[in-house]
Amino acid sequence: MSALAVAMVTTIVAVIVMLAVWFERRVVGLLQGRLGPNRVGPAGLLQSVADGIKLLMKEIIIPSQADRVPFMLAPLVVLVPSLMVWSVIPWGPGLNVTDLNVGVLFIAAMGAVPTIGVLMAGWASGNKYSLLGGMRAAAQLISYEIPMIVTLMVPVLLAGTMSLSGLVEAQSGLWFVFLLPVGPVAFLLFLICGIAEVNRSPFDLPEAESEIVAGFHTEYSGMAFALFFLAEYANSIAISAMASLLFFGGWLGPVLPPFVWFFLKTSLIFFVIVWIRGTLPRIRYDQLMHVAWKVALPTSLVVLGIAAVELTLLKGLE
Amino acid sequence: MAEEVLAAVAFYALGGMAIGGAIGVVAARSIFHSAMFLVVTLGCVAGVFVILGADFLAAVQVLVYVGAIMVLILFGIMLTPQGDTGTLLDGPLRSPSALLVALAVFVVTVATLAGSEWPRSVAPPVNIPTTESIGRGLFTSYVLPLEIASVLLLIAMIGAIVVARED
Repeated sequence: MSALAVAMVTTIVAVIVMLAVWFERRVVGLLQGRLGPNRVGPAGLLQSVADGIKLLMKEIIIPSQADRVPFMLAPLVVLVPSLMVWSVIPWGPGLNVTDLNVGVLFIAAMGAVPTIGVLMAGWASGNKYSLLGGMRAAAQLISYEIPMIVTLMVPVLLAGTMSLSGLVEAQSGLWFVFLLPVGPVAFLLFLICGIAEVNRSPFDLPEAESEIVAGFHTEYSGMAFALFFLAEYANSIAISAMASLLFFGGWLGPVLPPFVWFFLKTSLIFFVIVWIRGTLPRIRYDQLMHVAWKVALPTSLVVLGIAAVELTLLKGLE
Repeated sequence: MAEEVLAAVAFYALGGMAIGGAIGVVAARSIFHSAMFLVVTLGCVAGVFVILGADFLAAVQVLVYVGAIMVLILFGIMLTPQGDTGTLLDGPLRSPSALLVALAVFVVTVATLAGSEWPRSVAPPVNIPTTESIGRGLFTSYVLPLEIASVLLLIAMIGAIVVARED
């Protein structure tokens, strides 16, 4: 039963990633006044399938100066935690593999592990651009992890539980994003830190093409590269899903079935992430650190403090 | 019954991997490989916490040790020159003194292990959320150790900044 559920979740995530890649390329194309992929299949829907087959057929080249075992392990260390996150995300009431009562913490922990994989990839490639990319990624992930976890604690505090289903049910009265004054600020902070966590533009310094080729995955080809790619998109969608679960009431909504609501909300937030990517230029390294340590971290602490005070006052009124 | 067997198998597998990782840390030639083996060990300890029903502790173990401390260790390895990892200490006393220290550690460890009682509980692990009790404990009975630990970390952080400052 549980093995079946795990297999299902893995397959579903892979399919969703393919759709997300197609969606992103089409949307960025529209944003930039281009067409985007539109030749393979209806509206280019099968483009990702074709790309996947291409990557499967390609040779995995291991550089002669590479440290072989860490080099081949690194994509797995990045991908497996990214897929494990999906085992606790509820698509509807009871629609998850398992409902951990430390769900939010589990997701934060699984978000921290890929950093090791990125550093492994950067080091083991034996290439200076890979190493620089790996170091940039590690510094960035460490910096943004702290404000992100502090922000995650705001909905946890408001709901009084770390279980994701419990968090959604706690929002049946009011979605946390509408809970003034902390809701909107916490959501924006979460989104910014989330985009930084998954290394997406404008925070894509670890793989800045114009500076360090492709960063930590410069030396990867074929399926080894595809695993990094899969992990990045699985993480981006997981961030969107987390935002919809923690701030937009997850599956809650009238008329339509719960999983449709969850899918719609997640897609909308993913669209915003794509929109940001299509619009903003890459920020500089000093700006990246400035935002993390001097803006995001103090703001997240203040928001958490206000949320605690607000909660105490609301409890006092009852 | 099947669950007990499964838990035992998982425990011995994780414990074996943790010990294997620990041996790897000291045996590996490259300091980077040592760090990788340490990740294995810390991850397996988190797995043992899961078997014991300490889900909060397991998640924090991964978050803090694998996600933060190991990343900082790897960062340190990458930022320091690796070419010259020759012997730091040289001379006729090197091997005897190393042996002495190793023996001392071994004796103390064995003495502690032999002197412990190893209480065994026959009760199955309780499947209740541990987060609240840990939180209450930290802010009531253990508030003084918690504060001391945080002050210690603050001192370490300020010290690191002072050491790293150029002017």
